[in-house]
Amino acid sequence: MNIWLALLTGVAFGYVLYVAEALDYGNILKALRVTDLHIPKFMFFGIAVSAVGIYLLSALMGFDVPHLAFHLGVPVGGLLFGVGFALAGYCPGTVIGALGAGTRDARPVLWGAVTGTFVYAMLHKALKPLLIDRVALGEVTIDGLLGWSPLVTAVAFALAITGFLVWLDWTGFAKPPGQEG
Amino acid sequence: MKRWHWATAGAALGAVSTAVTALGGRLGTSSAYTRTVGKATEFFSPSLANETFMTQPAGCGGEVPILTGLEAGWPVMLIIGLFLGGLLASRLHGRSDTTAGADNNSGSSGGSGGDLPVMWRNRFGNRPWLRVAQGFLGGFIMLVATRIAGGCTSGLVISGMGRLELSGLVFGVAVFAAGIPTALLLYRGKGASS
Repeated sequence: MNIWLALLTGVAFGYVLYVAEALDYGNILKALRVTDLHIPKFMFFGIAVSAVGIYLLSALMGFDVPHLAFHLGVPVGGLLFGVGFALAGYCPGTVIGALGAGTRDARPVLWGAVTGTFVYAMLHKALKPLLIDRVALGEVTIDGLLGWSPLVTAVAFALAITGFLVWLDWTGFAKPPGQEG
Repeated sequence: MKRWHWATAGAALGAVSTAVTALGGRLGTSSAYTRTVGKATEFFSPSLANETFMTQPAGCGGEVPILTGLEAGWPVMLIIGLFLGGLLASRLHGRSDTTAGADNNSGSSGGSGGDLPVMWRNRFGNRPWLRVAQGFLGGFIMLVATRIAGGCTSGLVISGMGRLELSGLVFGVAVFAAGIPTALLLYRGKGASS
């Protein structure tokens, strides 16, 4: 990927995270305390749109879509990540955007993240056989599991997510009064 | 600023994620930490960096399984852009009127608690050192977790689920399965109403 295009995409990513208010501790904690699901709705609708976008463009332009592998570290890391996420109130991406927006509260999170990166690197050799080499299923995809074409799966997945989000919004569940979205 | 509706902001996020994939990248941010911290380690001790950072997967910011060199590359450019995007948007739109962040509240607290998120201060009080400890611990756990899993919220959940990957789906479910009880536990009882 061209580094200047990466910079430009990063600016767009940061801008979108800001206007969605995903760079904010309070909004992240409201999502995790299930009092305002704005951020998960935003995220999952983004996933729905990108699933169709990626596989439509891939079919039209003929580029490959590389995948990340599944292994035991994925669920274990996810559970651990959830604990850290609730304590920090930022994720590794939003902490950078929040610092750009001048949020001082994000600073200790960055220092913790940098320290964690270093400590993990020291532990990688010991942890790899315990986690990353276990249940190493490789690049498993949902379309592969279903035996459907990627584009058909993406459209079905996107419709299912969108339908669920619209229904969730309609019920008013975990949606504070006075908020439209 | 009034926050964008989830559908508008989500459509924009989907467009960004689609564009980055079509350009041959991924919306991965945690890999940039490995590259940056690895580069700093290399500066002090090339042999230590070789034995540690160079032997671990590049993560969600790079499709190659192992780092071939500690170059900044596009994942680091992406997070520099992310920083600038946050800066640009905050200058263009100012502080939100719905946000629970506290950068505009230093006047009302009358103390050094001005940097604390309002929700956090209502629960834990005006104790900046406790927030620093929580934030540091949270950041530490998160980055260890992303290196174990091979990605984070952006690379595994947003990009990964968008690519219909099992790993992204499982990681996303696990994040909420642990994150929700942790948040409820942190905010149990007093101060939980805000």
